[in-house]
Amino acid sequence: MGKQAVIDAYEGRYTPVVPWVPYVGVHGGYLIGEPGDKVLQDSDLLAKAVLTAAERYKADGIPLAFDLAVEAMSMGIEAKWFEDNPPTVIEHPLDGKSLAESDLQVPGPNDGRWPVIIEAGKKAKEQIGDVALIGLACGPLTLASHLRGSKIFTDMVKKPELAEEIMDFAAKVTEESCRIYAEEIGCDIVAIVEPVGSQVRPATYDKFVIPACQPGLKAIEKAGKTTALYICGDATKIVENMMYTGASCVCVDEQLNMNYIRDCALKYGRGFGGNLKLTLSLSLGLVDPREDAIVSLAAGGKLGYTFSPG
Amino acid sequence: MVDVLKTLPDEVTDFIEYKEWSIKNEEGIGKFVERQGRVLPTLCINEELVFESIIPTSEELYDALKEGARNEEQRKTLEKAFEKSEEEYE
Repeated sequence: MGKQAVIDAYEGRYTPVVPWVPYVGVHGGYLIGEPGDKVLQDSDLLAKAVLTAAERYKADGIPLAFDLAVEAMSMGIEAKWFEDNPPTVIEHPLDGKSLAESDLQVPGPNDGRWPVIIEAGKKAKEQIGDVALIGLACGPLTLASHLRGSKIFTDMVKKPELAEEIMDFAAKVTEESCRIYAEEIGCDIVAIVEPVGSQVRPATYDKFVIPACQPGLKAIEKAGKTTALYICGDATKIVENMMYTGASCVCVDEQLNMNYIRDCALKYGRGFGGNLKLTLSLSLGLVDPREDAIVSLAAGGKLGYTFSPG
Repeated sequence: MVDVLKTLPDEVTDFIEYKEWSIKNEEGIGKFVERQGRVLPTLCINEELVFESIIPTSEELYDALKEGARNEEQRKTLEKAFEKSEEEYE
């Protein structure tokens, strides 16, 4: 068990025992008695939170930071901090001006929040032992919605050239983010995370999201690391489309039917992960977590499956 | 998804009240069950499930709001607001 098992499962291979990846975000701060906003801005605390969570939950793999505002904030975009949640982007610089008019640049490893994330990642990597460290890059569609606001969804229908221009830029940011996690930090797996990916139509996903994921996925592969896509929400309508991105593994939300995602992943030779009921079971206790885990494990099987929250 | 409502102009929000519920608390779960929600997020208009895990374009949103208008005056206000938003968008 451990790191290799997660890599094997994410790459669609058989594992004798199903690996376990808890998605610990600011909850890691709770475990060490520190608020999320402080943890995410301090490399020592972030590394400590990740290491503590990995040990506490006997994880085979663990994300470095579940924070999709890193990229936007590193471009100077305003966000709001919380003690018990990751920061939320509250400014949409491309709402009133074009990309050319804005002074937005792809943030590199020395910009914005990256130095803290990189330092924390290197510290965690040194001490984490046989646990896969997973980098989470903000997906291009999510980043485009940070930049343009909800207008991006209308643009995709009414001004496809504009949407494409913004998505192209977002793809470059995601690419650099993936490169930083894979190359500079040395994460074993890097996932492109798209919380809003499930809220577009399959044709929109094919036209805008799949091409925009390619530079990031290539950057991860170039570093010799494993690729993945994480998606939130009810992604049933685009599960098959997600398989065409080329990512090795697709991890889904608690709303998806695990039998369906399993069959789809096996059909395309992908790994898949999920979908312990994060809200209903772990957060609210309305469903018995043990029974829920057994259902997920039974549906997932041992070929390419990673047990994770959904 | 709720962001699309936050961009509606004042003349529309004068007669449209919107509220966001979180599935992470008892009130939100109660509302989800009461409305017979199927997926998250879902946007309801006049208590009907209208956009289920789909972020509407502005046109789709205005069309749905017009469908749910209570009277002719509201419908006309929505049409004007949509035309104005289209002009501004262009």
